[in-house]
Amino acid sequence: MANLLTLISDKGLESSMGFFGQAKGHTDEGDDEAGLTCMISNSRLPNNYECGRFHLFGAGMYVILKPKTASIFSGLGKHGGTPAIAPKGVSPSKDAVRLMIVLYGPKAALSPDGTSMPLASLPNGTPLVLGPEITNP
Amino acid sequence: MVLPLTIIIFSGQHQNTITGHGVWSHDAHVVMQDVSHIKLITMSLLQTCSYITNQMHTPVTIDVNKFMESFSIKADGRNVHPPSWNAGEDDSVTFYPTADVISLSPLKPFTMEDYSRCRRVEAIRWINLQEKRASIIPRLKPVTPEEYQERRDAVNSNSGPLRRKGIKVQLLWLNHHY
Repeated sequence: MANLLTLISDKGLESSMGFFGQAKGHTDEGDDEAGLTCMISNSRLPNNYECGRFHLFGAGMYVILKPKTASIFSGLGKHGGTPAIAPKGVSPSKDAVRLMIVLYGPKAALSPDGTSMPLASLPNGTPLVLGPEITNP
Repeated sequence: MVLPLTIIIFSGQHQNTITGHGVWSHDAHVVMQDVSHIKLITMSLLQTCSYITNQMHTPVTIDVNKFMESFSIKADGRNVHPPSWNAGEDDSVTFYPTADVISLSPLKPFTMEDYSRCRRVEAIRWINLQEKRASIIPRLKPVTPEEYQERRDAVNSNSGPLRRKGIKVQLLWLNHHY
């Protein structure tokens, strides 16, 4: 998944990212407990911009999202981010881009006991889903 | 004329929902190597075949390695097959790496029973890993140790919502004769 924001907002991330941009943070309940999320910052920002920060609430820490920074964490813990910010009195540049690449392990792929990803498509357009009675050992 | 029609539904009680993440056959190459992708698809086909043959009155044996050997992809100019399986003494499984030519004759036939037994061991390992990882994640509603035990019990059980079973359903088939 990639979060690409071409305009640097002064209203936080919620207006563009919805639930996943809430300042109060969120949890990714569809993630598997045994899988970790890797989030890579690949933003292109002028040097004098604040890069934005990524907060892990339970650990009481944050990561400054400099370009080429990778954060590895569990999406099941509460987390959230802040947007990049232009220096005071400077209009945000249209070339400034905040790009976050998020690699995560969905429960549907790793532990499909209740939710499954389809194996393939059938001729009538319906998905072929292997339920737990088929895939469980 | 009303004809009773009895069908058997091979299903558990589990409600299964579908995600919109993607389709394994079409999309998995984005995150998987080719050989891992063919392994995943052939294992899924194997499970599907086993599910169907289990519905027959005649017991059917599937030689897992012969089934897997019949699939191959071209990679670096070679024919690459999904790895062969060989059960260890402790229900662990040894994988024979993909190769141009696989000679299965020295190996004992690896049946679906062997396959299920080894997969159960792996499933328990995965649940244990989930429990260990989750124990260090601060969550408002953590999964309790009892729930993890229920997951382990479901894997080891021969019945329950994860297990297939034949349910006889009688349908009334309406047939008009003029």
